[in-house]
Amino acid sequence: MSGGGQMLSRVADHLYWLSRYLERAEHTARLLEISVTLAADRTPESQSRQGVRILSALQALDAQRAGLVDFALLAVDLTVGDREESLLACVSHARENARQVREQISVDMWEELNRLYLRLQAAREDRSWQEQPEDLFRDVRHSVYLFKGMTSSTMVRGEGWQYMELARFLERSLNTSMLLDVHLREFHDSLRTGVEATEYVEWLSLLRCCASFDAYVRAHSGSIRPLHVVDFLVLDAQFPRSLRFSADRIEESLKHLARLAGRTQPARVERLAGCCAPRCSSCRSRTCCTATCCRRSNTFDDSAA
Amino acid sequence: MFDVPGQPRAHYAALFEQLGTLSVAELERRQQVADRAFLHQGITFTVYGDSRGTERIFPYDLLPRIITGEEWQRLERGLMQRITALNLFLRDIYHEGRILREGVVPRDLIFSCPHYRREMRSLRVAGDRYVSVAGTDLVRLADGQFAVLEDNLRVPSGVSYMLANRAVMKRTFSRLLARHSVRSIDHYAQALLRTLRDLSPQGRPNPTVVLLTPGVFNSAYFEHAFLARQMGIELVEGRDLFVHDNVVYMRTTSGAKRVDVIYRRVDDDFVDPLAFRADSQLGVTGLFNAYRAGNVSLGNAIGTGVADDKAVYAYVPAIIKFYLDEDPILGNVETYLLGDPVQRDHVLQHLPELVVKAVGESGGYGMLIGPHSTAAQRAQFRDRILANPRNYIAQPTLDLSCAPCFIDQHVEPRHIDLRPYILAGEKTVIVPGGLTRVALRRGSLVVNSSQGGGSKDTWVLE
Repeated sequence: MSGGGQMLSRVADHLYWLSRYLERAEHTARLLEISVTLAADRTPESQSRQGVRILSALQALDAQRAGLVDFALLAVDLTVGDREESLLACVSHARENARQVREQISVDMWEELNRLYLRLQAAREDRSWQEQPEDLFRDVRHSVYLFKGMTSSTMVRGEGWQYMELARFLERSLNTSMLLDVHLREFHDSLRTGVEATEYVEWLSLLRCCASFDAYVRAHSGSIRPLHVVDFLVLDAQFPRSLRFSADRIEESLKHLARLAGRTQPARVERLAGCCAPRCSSCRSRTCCTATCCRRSNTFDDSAA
Repeated sequence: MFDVPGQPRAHYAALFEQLGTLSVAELERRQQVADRAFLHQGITFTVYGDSRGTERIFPYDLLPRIITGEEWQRLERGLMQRITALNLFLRDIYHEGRILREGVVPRDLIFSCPHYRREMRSLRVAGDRYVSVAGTDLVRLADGQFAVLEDNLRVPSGVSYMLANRAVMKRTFSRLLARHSVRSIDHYAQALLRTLRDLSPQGRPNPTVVLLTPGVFNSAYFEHAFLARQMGIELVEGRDLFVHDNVVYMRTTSGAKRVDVIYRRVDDDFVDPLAFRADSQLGVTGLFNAYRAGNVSLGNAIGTGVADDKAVYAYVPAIIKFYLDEDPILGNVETYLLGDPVQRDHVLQHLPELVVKAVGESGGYGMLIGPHSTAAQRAQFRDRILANPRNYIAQPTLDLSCAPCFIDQHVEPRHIDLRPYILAGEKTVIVPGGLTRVALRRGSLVVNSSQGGGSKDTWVLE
C-alpha cells in the first residue's frame, strides 16, 4: 500500500515522528544506562558534572539545573518525569504517532510499542525499578531494538520505510553531534594532551553512549586516544552511528523519496544533505569539523521538519 | 444455556462438559490471558477526565455464546429480508414517496424525523443501496424467538470486537473451538471491501476506497484502523481530503489522488461543513456537492437515519409487507408510539412497567427503564414525553435471554443481546454470528459498552 508514492502526507509525517521519537528514546535510555553503570567509578562531583552533560546533550538543561545535579533524582526525572525529554514522553509521543497510522504498521510492531509504553507507565506508579535502574533502561533499549528489527524484517521498502529511515538517521546524527559537542566543550584540551587517568572514564562513557566501544576498539585497539575517538565518531564510513554514516543514509533516503515521488529537481533538503555528506567524509581538520557538523545537523533538522 | 435447570441444551453440552473439567484458577488464568491480549493490542477506551490517560479494556467474557445452524439460517433470511425492504423504503421516501401516498407510513412521522435529509431528495444513490453496512440488534424473548430491537443504519460500530473476540477465543480455548464446528468469520473485511467496491460511482473499475475516520480521539478509532488495515485501504481524516471541481482527492506525498468510494465513519451532520453543520472540523468541505454530482459514493448514504428512527421502527413490519409482499420473518418488539394520544395515555398509566426511549438516541442514553426507575425519574420522563411526544416510544420491559458468564470466579447468568453485521452489496452477506453484548451488572438490562456492558464471542455452528 505504501509502495509507490501513494502515501498520505499525514501518514508520512506520523511515520517520520514515530521513528524519531523511538530513536531518541533509545539514545536517552542508553545515556542513562551508561551513566548509572559508570556512576560507581566516579566521584560525586564528577557524577553531577556528568548529569549536567547528559542534560545538555538532551537539550534539556534549564536554569535550575545548571548547578549541582543529584544524579539519582535526575535519572528518575528523565525516565518518568513530566518533561518533554523523559523516556516516558518520548515513548508516548512515538505511540501517539503510531496510533495515528495503526493501519500502516504491523500488529506486532504496535503491540511491542504498546507494551513498552505500558511498562513505563507502570514505572511511574511503582518506583521499585529504582533499586536497579539499569534494568529498566536496558529493557527500553531492547524493546526499541525489537521494534526496529520487526520493522526492518516486515516493512515494505517504500516511501514509509524511507521516511522512517530518514527520521532515524537525522535523529541519530543530531544525538551524536550534541553529545560530541557537549563532551568536547569540557574535554577539548585532551585532544592535544591525551587522556589523564581521571578522565579515562569520561571518554569511555562517550564511546559507550554512542554504542561504539566495541567497534572503536576493533578499529583502533584498546588505547583510547581522544583524537581517534572523535575521528571515529565523526568520520568512520562503516560504523552505523558515526555522523558520516548518518549523513550518507540521509542523503540516500532523500534520493529514494524524490524518485518515488517522481521529482527530478532536487528540493532544498536534498541540496542541504548533499552539502552535509561530503563535509563529513572529506574533512581533515578533525577538531573543527565536529562543531560545524553539529550546526549543520541543526539547520538540517529545521528545514527537514 | 439451560432448558430445565441442570440440563444443558444439546448444543451447549460439549461446552458444559469441558467447563466442568477446568478449575476456577484455570479459568481465571485464561481470563487474564484474554485481558492482557486486549490491553496489548490497544483495544481500549480512554477514561475521560483522567489526565494521565488511563486506558481500560472493554470487558470480555470468557465463555462463548452458541447459536445453532438452524437458528442462524432463520436469522439470516430474516435480516436479508429486512435490509432489502429498508433500502427500498429509503429509496422511496427520497423519491416518489409511494408508501407515504398510500398512507402505510404517516407522512409527518418521516418529515419530523431529525435524521431525514431534505438534501437527499431525488439524488441517485449508486445501486440504490442506501445502507451498505447495517448492525441490527436482536434479542431473544421469553418464547425463545429472536426479535429485532433496533436497526442501526447510520454508522454501526462494534464489528472489530466481534473479530477480536474470536481471535482471543482462538488463543484461550483453541481446543474447545476445534471440537465444535464453528463457522468462520474471518472473511468479514474482504466482504466489506467488496461491498464498498460495489458502490463505485458510474461503475468505474478499480475504485479507490478510503475509510474516513473522525480521528484518533474517537472511541471507535481502533475499529477504523483495524478495518482499514484488514482491507488494505487508506485510513483518512477530513483534513486528508479535499474537493476540486466536484471531485474528491486525497493529499498524498506525490500530490492529489482521486477517491471514488468513502466508507465514512463520521455522522451525517459532520461530513461536510458546507452542506451540514458549519462548525464541523471532521468533514470535507464540498463533499456533498461531489456526492450530488455522482463523482463519489458514500457508504452508508446520507440520510439513512430516518429508517432507524425508533418510531419508524414500529412500521418496519408494514414496510416489509408493502415492498416485498411478504410476512416479516423476524418480528419486532411491541412498541407504543407516543405521538398517538391513545397509546400515550396507556403508556403514561403504565410507566413503571415499560421502557421509554428517545427516538434519536443510541448507546443506551435517554432511556427510562420503568421497573428500575424512581418516582422522580418517572415524573421527569412524563414531563418530557408530554412536551415532545414524537420524540419518544415505549416498549414492554423485555425479559432478555441470559447466557452464562465468568464473573468474579463464578459462572453466573447475565442478560445478552446480539448484533449481526449485514453487508448489502450486489450480494448481501452476513458473517455468521455477530457481536454478543453482555450486561455485566447483575440484573441489568443495558448492554451498551458506555453503560457497563461487555461482550463475548458468538459461535454459529455448522
